[in-house]
Amino acid sequence: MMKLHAKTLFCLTFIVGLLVALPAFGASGSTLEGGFKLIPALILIAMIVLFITIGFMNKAEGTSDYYAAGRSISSFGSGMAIASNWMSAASFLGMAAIMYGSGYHGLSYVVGWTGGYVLLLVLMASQVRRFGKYTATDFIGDRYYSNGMRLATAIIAICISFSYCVGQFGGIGIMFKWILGINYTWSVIIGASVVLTYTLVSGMLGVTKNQQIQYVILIIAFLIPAFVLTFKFDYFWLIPPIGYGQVVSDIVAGTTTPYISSLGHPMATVPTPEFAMPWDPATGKDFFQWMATCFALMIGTAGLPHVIQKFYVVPKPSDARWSVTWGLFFICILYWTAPLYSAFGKILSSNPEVGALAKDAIVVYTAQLGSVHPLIVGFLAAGAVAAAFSTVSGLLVAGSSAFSHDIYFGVFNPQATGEQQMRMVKLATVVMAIGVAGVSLLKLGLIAQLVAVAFSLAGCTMFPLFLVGIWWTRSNRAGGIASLTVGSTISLVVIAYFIAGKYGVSFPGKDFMNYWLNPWYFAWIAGPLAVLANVVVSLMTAPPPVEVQKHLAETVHGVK
Amino acid sequence: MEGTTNYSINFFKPRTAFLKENVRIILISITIWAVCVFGFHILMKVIEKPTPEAGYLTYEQVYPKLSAGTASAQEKAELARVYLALIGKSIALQNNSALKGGLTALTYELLPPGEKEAFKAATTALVSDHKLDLAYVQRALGVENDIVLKGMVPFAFVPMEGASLSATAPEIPGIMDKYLIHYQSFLTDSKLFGFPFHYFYSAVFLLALFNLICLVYCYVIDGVMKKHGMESENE
Repeated sequence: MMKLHAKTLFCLTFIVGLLVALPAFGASGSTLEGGFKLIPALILIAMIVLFITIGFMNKAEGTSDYYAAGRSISSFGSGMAIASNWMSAASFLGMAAIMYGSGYHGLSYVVGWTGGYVLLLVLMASQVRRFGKYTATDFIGDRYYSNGMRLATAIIAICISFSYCVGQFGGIGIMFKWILGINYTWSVIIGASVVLTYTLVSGMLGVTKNQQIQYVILIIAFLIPAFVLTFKFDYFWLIPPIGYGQVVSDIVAGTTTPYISSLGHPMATVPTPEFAMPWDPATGKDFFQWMATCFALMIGTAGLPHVIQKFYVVPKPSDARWSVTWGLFFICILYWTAPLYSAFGKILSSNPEVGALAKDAIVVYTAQLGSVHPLIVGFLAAGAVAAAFSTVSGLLVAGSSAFSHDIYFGVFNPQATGEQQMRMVKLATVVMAIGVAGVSLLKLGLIAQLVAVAFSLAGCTMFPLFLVGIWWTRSNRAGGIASLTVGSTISLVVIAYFIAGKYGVSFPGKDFMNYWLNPWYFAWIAGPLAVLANVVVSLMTAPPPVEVQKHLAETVHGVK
Repeated sequence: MEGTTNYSINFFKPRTAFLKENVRIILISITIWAVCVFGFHILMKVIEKPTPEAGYLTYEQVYPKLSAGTASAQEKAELARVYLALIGKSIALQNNSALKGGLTALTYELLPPGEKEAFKAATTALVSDHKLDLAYVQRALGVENDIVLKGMVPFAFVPMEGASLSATAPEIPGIMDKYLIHYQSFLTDSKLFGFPFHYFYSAVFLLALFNLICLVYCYVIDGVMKKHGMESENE
């Protein structure tokens, strides 16, 4: 209790100190792009220092403490940690960006990323907790009684972390570009260096408790500008996620308001129904793409290793269920608000003089164009970077731990000491960060789209293995291998087509692949095919060992 | 299946009372979830109708006359405003040379003879400063009192010198179809809390529904667990 009070006091002192000290720099940061912005830079540094300090105050004592926070977290706290873990650059920046650019199609991301939690809860949460392993890889290795499967899923988990990180690094690069006023390449390099240092310093700290505090700070950073924008422009400001509805209708019908943007343009727009109408031809997205994206993101959400892993941090299976419910609620607070930024951004940037804006920074640009106080804009931008930092840090640690624990220790050097493994974790973290930074420099897509690749990958590899593995005892190792082979082969083909397309190489059937098996949503068919492969091959081969079935029936499903 | 029957778990063939109840709750939850997400969007797709904007109706009336050379000055001005509004829709259209060329040609036709050469010279200067903001152009287009369209004028033209511009460029009908026809129904046209209804449904209601499904599921399944003596406090 005393520890909690000390933390609360520390946070309050930090916030009050920030509010008292920063008005001195209130004049800076008033242009959309350009020079170095002192306030956001200071807030960002303060935020990172705060997170590291809190991490040290909750330092993990051992393996169990590190991976699963000693199984001492309440469902409320775990829900907050799930939300913080989830609130990455894709949520903070990417969702508004995709709605700003693609209108209603962007809502498939909002619905997909939240609707997946229903699947996760009803089909998997408490069952995974009862199975009793620390990581998703361990679950699959044990359920399919195969070290080969353990190794393969460890590699896939690393690939998922990698592609998830690419989008995050893109977000970090864009925000560093905005804060430091330098070009994107240098922004990514500097941002990657900072996030790598942050990960190496904070990676082994008390992740779950730290994430609860991160959530509170990040959601405040995201909500304050929403209240300010709705209040300032005379919309219903008491509940901004409802208040911006009229903004959407104004964009559809066209509007002229008495307000002007920070750049001196009238806050007005010509009728733009394509912003809100479903699968509008003007957005280049159709009905199938909406449905496929939504479904792929849903099953991807339910198959992400770092999300599933969160269920092990709660004391009881019922807490696993409630932690999903709380987690979804906390996530929705952000997701209800994100479209507000795209709507205000659309109307405030409609004057041609504004020119083309980087879509992924539209959240921050909107606050700037709406003349929100530079302090609040700085807090918002710093929050975006901090959101990406916390997610990247967790993913880099998860990826490098999988490499060190499941590949290096599990396959190549089973005699490795703890110290050697730790050295390997650090080396893998550095290698992975450099690789991710290199790929993110290629600017392969919007943040949300790049992260969606990770979801599709998880949706056609991990999700089918968990789903069938939990709910069908007859599923065996051969079925699991077939499922993984189908999912990963389709993933590889899709990614090969995507990369080839980016470099102007044209493979046969390119148009077919780009439409039906697009990298942002290929799991819509690859996931069900992987399930089918598991079922068919399992039925054609011998049942799994009795002890595997017994564990599943008695421990996971309570059949005595 | 020899020797393993007692441990058999199959989602579609639950064999204990607890599993039957659990699967029933899961199926109800997933059915509500699927119908509300995918069912609603399928419904929207089924009942939607191509709905043109007012500008498209103007285009349909005037464009054939313009092609035939029979459009009046007033009709040309109306069509020019449609082109101008389109340019205001997006950055992509602000960079669309066919549309801007069409508007430039149309504006040239609308100007009185004494102003045509000045306009031509002004568009030539666009190469260097990319802006053209002339009161007589606003007047010719009838947008001098329209704060939104007036703001588009400086960005709406291309250089005329040496270019072959046409108000009826072959790309224009495609642009009109793509940007001025939307798929609408009563679900998109009705309003709730200021939102177009379908937008509210996806952006606000569905998220609330997911929370509700999770909440109800947790309460119900906790009760089922208790009833069947599962998940004791010590577990």
